Amino acid sequence: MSFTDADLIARVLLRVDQNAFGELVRRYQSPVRSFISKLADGDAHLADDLAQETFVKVWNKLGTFRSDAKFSTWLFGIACNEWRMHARGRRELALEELAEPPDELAQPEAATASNLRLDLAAAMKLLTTAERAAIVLCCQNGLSHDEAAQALGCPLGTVKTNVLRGREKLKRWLAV
Amino acid sequence: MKNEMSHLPKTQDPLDELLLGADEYLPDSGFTARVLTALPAKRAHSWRRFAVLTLAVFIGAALAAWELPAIFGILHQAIPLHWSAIQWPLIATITALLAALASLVWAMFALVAEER
Repeated sequence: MSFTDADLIARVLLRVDQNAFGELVRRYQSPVRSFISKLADGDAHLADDLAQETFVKVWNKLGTFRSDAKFSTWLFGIACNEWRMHARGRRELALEELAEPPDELAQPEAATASNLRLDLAAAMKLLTTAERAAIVLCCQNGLSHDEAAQALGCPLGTVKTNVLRGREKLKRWLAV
Repeated sequence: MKNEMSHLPKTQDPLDELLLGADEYLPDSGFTARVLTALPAKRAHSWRRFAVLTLAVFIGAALAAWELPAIFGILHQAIPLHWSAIQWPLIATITALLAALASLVWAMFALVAEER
């Protein structure tokens, strides 16, 4: 028998059920760690630390979660805030403050399927963090533009622009 | 994975295929266990505690309402002023009720703050 996210959340809230919370963490650990890792330029250790902080915050704030939004949207929002706080703490650039990367990336001469994925990872790093975050949420995690805007805490139009601009850059750089 | 994240629609765009293909599932590798270990202790809503607090508030209010007229009587005798027109029992009752209400509000706030 599998529980929905709503079932698990109810169990956590009503019974303080750590097993139910563990199931939520198991379900979402991969997308959250992957999302933060992409924001952190592939730093897996940092991503794991921030993801852990994210889930601890989720545990503490689960009572404030409103079921009219998707749990994943709320969760990515907390993950994004964790990243922002870390970036600001280290005087790194915040999401909206990042400079534009060089427009041209050395295009693969022979963009074979085997190396295309590697090139994608490199190209993703050259996107601004805001574009990368929007692309990861919308194109890899299935959030709508509206949901991504909620998670990232920015206007819908900004998310649409970032997705569009990011995709154009990736297409140009990867020649797909 | 049985979470509520939307399934991405199938697309013909090679970039989308590439993006989806690049998003590999990360194995848990003890991550969930570390998170559960790091969780702070959290108490369930203690309805018994709430009931005891509320009962205590009302008992306190009842005792105050019972005793305050006597206290005000003593004060009335001790202070030689023309206060005989003042409705001491009424004031005592109102004071007791206000004290009970303040205690109840305080208890509720304390309870909510502690639960969070």
